[in-house]
Amino acid sequence: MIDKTTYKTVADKLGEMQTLASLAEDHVQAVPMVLEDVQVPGAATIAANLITRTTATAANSIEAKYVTPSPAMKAMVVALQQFVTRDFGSVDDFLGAEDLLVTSAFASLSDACGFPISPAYIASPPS
Amino acid sequence: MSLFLTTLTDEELDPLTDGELDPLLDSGSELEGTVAAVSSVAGAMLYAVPLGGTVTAHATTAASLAGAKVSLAAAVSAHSTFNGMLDTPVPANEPGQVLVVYRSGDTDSHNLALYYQSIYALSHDQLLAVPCSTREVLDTYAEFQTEVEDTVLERVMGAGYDIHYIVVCPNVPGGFRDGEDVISTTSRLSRVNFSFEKNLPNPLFDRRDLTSLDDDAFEQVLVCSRIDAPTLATAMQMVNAGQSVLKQGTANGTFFIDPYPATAGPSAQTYTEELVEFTGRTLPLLHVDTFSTVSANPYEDLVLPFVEQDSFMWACGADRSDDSFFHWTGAIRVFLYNADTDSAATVRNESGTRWPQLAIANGYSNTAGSMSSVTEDHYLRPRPFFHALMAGSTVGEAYLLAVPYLDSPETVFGDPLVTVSFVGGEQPPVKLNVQTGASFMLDELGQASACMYRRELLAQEIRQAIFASGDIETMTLLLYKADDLKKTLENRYTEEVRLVTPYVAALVAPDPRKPTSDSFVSYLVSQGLKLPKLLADVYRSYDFDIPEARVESSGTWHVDFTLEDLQPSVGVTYQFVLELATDEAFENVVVTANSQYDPTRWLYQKEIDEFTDIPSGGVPSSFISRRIRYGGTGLTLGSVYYVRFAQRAQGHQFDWVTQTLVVAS
Repeated sequence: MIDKTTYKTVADKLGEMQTLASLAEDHVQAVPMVLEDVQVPGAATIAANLITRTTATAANSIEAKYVTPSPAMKAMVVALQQFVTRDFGSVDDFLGAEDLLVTSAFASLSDACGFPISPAYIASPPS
Repeated sequence: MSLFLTTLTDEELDPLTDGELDPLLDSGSELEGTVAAVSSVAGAMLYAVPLGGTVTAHATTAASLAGAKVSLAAAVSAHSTFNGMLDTPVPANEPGQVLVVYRSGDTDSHNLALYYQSIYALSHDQLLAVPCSTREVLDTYAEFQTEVEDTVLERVMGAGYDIHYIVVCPNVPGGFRDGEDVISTTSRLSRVNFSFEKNLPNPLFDRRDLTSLDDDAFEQVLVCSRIDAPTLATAMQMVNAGQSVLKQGTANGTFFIDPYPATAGPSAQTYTEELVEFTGRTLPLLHVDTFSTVSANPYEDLVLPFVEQDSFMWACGADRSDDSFFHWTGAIRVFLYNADTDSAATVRNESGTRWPQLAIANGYSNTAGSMSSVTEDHYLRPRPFFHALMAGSTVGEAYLLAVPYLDSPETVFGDPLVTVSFVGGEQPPVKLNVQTGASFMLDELGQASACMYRRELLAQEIRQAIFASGDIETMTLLLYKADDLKKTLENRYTEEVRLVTPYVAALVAPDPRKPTSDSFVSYLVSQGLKLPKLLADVYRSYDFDIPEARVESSGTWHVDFTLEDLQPSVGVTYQFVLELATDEAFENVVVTANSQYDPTRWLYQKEIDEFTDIPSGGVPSSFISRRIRYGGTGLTLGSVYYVRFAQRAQGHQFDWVTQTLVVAS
């Protein structure tokens, strides 16, 4: 079976990938917000409009392809969780037995893939 | 001579029968001159304010007031500038939010109040008599409270409407003593809702995000201005000058400026630098003729020899002058300020030679000064003052954005509702130019690229972790899936950002329809910008020839935070601390920085399109909402760091603000 260190490493990195997808979307969405504070000369209006439109397209693409877990991401998570539930019955039981906590990002991802994790096994974010 | 008429209602009249008109009515006499135009108001009781013997009035007995309409005839001085100008009252900006404070039982003071009321059609509720002495400077704050502040505060609190402007009429005390200082009435009443705190840093001073006072600002301060002079006629002339400015609307005279003070020392030098910067940066936006002294010798105090055809004067000259300084003008005289120590000590001296009094006597609508000796850091600042005027704010608002301290000796004179515009004047930039805006967008896109790049690295690391487990079953069940995940992300980090980047290049191109590699590189060079490596890769994928000199060196990073208003009731100077860690809990901090001890690498958005080194003294709260930047080198491309930032003021560190940084170079 998978050792706890490998599980923790893989779960944390998968969670971080999700967090970064959201962060990337936030940064793209910040571009038109910057534009709101810019005095755009008339000649550049079309460019400004295209920035607004393409950032919306880019943000939607990140949302659809990455923030919403991709099939490859889901397959990875499902494979991981099926691996541990095969021997422990549930992810919670595995985490309890191994004395592991997962990040909230990974817990959300796991939940989206059909493997909910109880709050008791989710690490609190640093204050 | 012009006449201005107003009619008081019965309700407005009633309180006047309680003796306030008695000084006039008891005269019971007809004054010399003609009242034909006025007396045609049938059945009216007339009285007038005699000004230099040029106006007439007829008064009846108090008994005849009952139920009568009263017309007030207020005379206007025969100054040529004002001829006929009051035929049509000039609309005020916020007359409904004005409180006019006059001295109870004082004819001149009350008449000025009535005159001001008539101009702006104020209700009687907007006039307030205070039971004060005629002394221009009271001995103690306690006296000031008894004679002025308590009555004003009671009205402000119980007015039933928001009072934003207070106009202080002649013979109301202009200030009170506090030790060696004289605290001005206008400064204290600006903070009448708050307890007295001598030399309180003005929370609105030089605020880069304000060019007028919004409701939040009026929670902090009230605009208060004083109209006072040796004679009622001169006080009324000041009001009339304000009306003249409002009616003409546009400053048509020369701006006289003398940035070089007679005093020396660091504070004087700082003030000079600010005036020189104002002269070079803001003054050209006004599009007015300018006359400036030139510093040829730092040990010689050059002064303005005179003013002529002038609309503004801002100087650091000798602290006394005389009427000969003011040559003829056909232009409206709007605002005069001389940065000296005690120019506003009195404005009631018939033979006064201080600047505010000279300004008032020579037709300026507004002026300012200090009632007792102050240091240079108290001086009024022209940049926020004129930025506010250019944005359409009243002189009263502009003053409050330009005066560094409240509950202090500085004071302002004239009608605070005066506004002025500038022919062809440009609005000071309140928005980013496209060059700066594009640089901020490139920052965001660089971070987006870095996030996506980091995801690719993580997919590789997941595969490596599975492989490193050495467990056959683990590898069998998971490695294939990890490979799939990695393959779906490989070389994809540019995909989404790539959609946007050409249009950022177009935004800054001379011809936005035809952005080219050369035009984009020229932009980078002109702005001194370097692209994060990952973003340079994106542009290069479009065959933009980004030279290595325009790409950040490996490991370069920076973060921006927004300066927050954490002590809104007081102006403060902030220092900053920053920590950069490899973990969210900040247990492994790899970079620490404190601007107070080492301002190196700290920048702030001093002008809206310009970052400047943070001064050793910190960044004033006037820069609220502007960006604070810190950066460095030595990090690893694609690594994630957690950055937290806190503002510090007066020995207190405020809450951390955290953001995630992914290194893009």
